[in-house]
Amino acid sequence: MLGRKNFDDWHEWVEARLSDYIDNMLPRADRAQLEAHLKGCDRCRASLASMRWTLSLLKRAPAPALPHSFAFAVPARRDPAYGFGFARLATVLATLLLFLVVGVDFVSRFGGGFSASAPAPAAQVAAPTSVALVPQTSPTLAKSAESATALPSPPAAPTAARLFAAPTSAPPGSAAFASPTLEAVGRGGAVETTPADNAAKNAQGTVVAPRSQVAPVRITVTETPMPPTHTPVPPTSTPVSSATLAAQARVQPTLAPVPPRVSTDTSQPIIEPLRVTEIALLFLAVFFGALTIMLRRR
Amino acid sequence: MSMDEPAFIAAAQKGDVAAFNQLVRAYQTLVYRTAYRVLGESAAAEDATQDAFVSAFKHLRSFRGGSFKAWLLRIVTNACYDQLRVKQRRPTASLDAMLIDPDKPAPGADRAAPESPQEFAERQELGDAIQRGLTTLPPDQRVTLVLVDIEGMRYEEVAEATGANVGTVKSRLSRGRAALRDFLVKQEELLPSKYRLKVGQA
Repeated sequence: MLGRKNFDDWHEWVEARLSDYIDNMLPRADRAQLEAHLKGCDRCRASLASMRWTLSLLKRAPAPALPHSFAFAVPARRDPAYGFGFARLATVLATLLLFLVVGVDFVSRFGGGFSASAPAPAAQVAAPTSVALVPQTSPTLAKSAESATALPSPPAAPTAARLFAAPTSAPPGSAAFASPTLEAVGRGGAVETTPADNAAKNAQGTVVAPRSQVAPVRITVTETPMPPTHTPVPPTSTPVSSATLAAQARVQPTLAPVPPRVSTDTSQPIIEPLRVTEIALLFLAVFFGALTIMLRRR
Repeated sequence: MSMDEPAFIAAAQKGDVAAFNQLVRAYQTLVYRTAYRVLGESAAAEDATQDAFVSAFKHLRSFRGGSFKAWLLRIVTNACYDQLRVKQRRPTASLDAMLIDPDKPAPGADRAAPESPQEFAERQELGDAIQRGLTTLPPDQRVTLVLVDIEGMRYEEVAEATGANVGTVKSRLSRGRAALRDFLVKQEELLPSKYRLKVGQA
């Protein structure tokens, strides 16, 4: 700043600008003024010298030693990833199984017992349903169901055998699904209930045994005489098939005595485990799903 | 580090801790040194350094480029101010002797020979004297002085690191230098002779 200054003002003015002057940050005009003053002022020269000295000491000052490294600990990524993958897989499996079991349950309960083409497990599931439906349709069929399910002995087998009319029944699968006729489920499919009119048809040997057979038994309703209980049903069945039926009858203990209500009862032992399974799978799916989400957030 | 620094920063911004650790190793000496000189004691300096790096990692996404050093030192100065507020005490209350890094001789040392024990002790005295002088300054002048005259940063970088403009940096620098100079002149007799002004270190 130019202008009138008394001597004291100059010292302050210079003092305030020494730092900038040392760093070569002063505007040219100010620098000229300052240097001109310094020439004639010991005090300001000493002040400049001491400031330069201070800066040199700062440069020579020792550096404090680093006490330790401040680097972060890198988290191990393997374990969380491992657990996360497992939890995710478990969730998917539990969910898929849950859907499968629920689907099977659904089909068996509302599908009315599809015949032949239904897979064996489904058929087995559907069997009780068909058993349940049987009594609704025909008392004679109920009886036949009764006798069919109560087939521990070969004599009863023919009954079942003749219920499985292989030749007359359409391809097990399609026919079964197509019409609610009691079709023999040679393949082990579930049996359909039959309306009363179908009973006559059954009489021709297309009676459907109210239960599925696991083995691909081809039961031809032919020769074997039927027990008297099967009034509408001509006694035809092959010994072979009857034997097989007997075996199969033994395979289906749950289909033993089947009064109209009993069929409902017999269906329960199968549905209950399903219910338990569904609930268990649901819990598993929810648990592993939550675990997956938790591990994912880490 | 300067060659790979943008890559490390980019990886660290995505959460790569190992990449961030590379940045930590590159800057921790500067950060700790600065924190120590501003706070005057090692425990507080360690806390400030740790806090600064944690905060830097957390807010790394807000770094958009430019001087990473200045961005980091901004976090460091804030951490130091936090420490000063927490301590709530005058910095001159208790000072421990600064542990000098023996592997780093004084800049401008004339000899290539390793420092003798006496030289080491003299430098220790100098360091302690400077630290005492620094702690007499207000924190903003102290920080400015440390960054410009000890760490050698430019005005613009220091302005960014302290959140001020260049004019304010100049002003704080001028007053800080003058105050330290006055302190050291008064203490001159306590300094090792080779550091004294009257010996001719103009």
